[in-house]
Amino acid sequence: MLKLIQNEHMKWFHKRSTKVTFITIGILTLCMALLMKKVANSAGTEDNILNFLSFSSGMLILVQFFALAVGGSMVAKEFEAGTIKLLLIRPARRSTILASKYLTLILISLYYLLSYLLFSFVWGALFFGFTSLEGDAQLLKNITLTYDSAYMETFMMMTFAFMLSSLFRNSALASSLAIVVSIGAKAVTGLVSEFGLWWGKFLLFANTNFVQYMDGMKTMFDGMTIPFSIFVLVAHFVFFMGVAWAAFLKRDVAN
Amino acid sequence: MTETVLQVDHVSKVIGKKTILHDVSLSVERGEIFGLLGPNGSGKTTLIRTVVGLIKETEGTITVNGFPLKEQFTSAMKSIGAIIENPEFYDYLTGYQNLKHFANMHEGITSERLDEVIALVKLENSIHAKVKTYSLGMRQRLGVAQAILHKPALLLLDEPTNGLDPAGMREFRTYLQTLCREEGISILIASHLLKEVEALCDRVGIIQDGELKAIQDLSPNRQDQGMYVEFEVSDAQKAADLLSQEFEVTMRSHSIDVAIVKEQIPAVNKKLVDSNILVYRITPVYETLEDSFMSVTEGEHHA
Repeated sequence: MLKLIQNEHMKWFHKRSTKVTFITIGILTLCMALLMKKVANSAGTEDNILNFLSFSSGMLILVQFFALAVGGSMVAKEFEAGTIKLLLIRPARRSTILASKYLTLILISLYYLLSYLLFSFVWGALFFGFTSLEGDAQLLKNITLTYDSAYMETFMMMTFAFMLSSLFRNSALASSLAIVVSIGAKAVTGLVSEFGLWWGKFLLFANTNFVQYMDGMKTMFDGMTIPFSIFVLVAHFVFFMGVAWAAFLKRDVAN
Repeated sequence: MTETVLQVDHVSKVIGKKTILHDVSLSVERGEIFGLLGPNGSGKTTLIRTVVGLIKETEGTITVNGFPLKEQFTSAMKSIGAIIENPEFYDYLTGYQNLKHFANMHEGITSERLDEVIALVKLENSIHAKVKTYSLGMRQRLGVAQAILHKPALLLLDEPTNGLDPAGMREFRTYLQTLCREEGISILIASHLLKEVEALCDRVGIIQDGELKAIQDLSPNRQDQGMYVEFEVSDAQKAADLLSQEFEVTMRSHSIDVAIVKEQIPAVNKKLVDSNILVYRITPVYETLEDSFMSVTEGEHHA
């Protein structure tokens, strides 16, 4: 299993898109830093690194998109390149191979998330410094929570992308559909919440954001609790995994 | 005693209402090259893919080196190496990285073994170049390398010379025969090229419409099956009359074809000479693979 995960890392690492992703994350966070610097200068306010981390955490959706691109291609690329035929004729069960791919995907999403945080930290330190940090414990807590819920969303959606990848065996379709659903479903959940429809609380995106359970916050729908959200997330996860596994294990590789 | 490396037992594959494979049984013995000959769409590829577990059989069992494929997949796959159609690799990785990738999926493949295999397929000079720069022949050789890394007992090849030029095909054939001799492995090869199969295989199964129609022995020490002997004689009519009670005789203008085996030639010759028929030439005629292929598949050209 460890060697399979190592294999998946090798394939991911040597792809050009991987390098491009890290560079893009670096450049985009740099742009955010420059933008905030400009705004701060013209407003005459003094910002520190935490203000920037808080600002940049608002764009964590980028990390999700990159994770969806990887998740959507993880299985499908093997079919598109024909390498699946050489991969599945080894002394390794299909379920082990799929598990190694999924675990690698989780690790990759964490690398992306960490690199986003790291770049934000470096640019923040360079452009804003560590001045007047005292009394910002609440801000730090908020940043952590934003990262947490952003990753929760990323985790669920990349599992969805992984399922599509296994189901359709087409990486372009899987990745783009996952991104469209990610954007669309979020908007739909917001609309359903506006109209106060009761069944909205079962939607995935109503439950990924745990900030709503903080003191003084209102939940997206009435009657939502933390255990309920966890239940909805687990139910979605089990469904995504079940479909991915069935599609990968049961179907023939005929071309 | 021969040892069976692959046993295919009453295997059928049905997709929807279409029968792709119908009750196919065959076995491959140690050190043997077995050919699967059939037109495109006859079920060769499906059979090969079923043996490596890419396609699941609807009925029947497949046993590899004593391990049932379905129940003990990983044990069975340890003995199998395969090239399924044109070997396709991770283009953006080097040849070496590709090999390393597949070596990681087997147990105990040392870097010495990797070097040994690379030398065997003569890729030493380009193994650290990206696969996307490889020619088809080089890919084919890398395909052989990934298939024999783990010293499998059975090598499965599906249309292995597709897209190779005649020189490449010949070179590839030599490789396979060397492998068979030096590594002692058995080979099951599917092809629609009659000449290729004839040049390479010890036994050939002819497959059509998903059914194994016949198995023919092509090895030098084969039984003298499907053979007749042509006698060029002074009087064909007289010779035919003389032999027709005892043997199956076909008469031609200056010769007769007698359905006998090699051991009977001297006796038949003596009989002719004793009856004052002059014998100019005796030629044993083997049924060629082409003959049996045509006779097995003829009358089925309904298209």
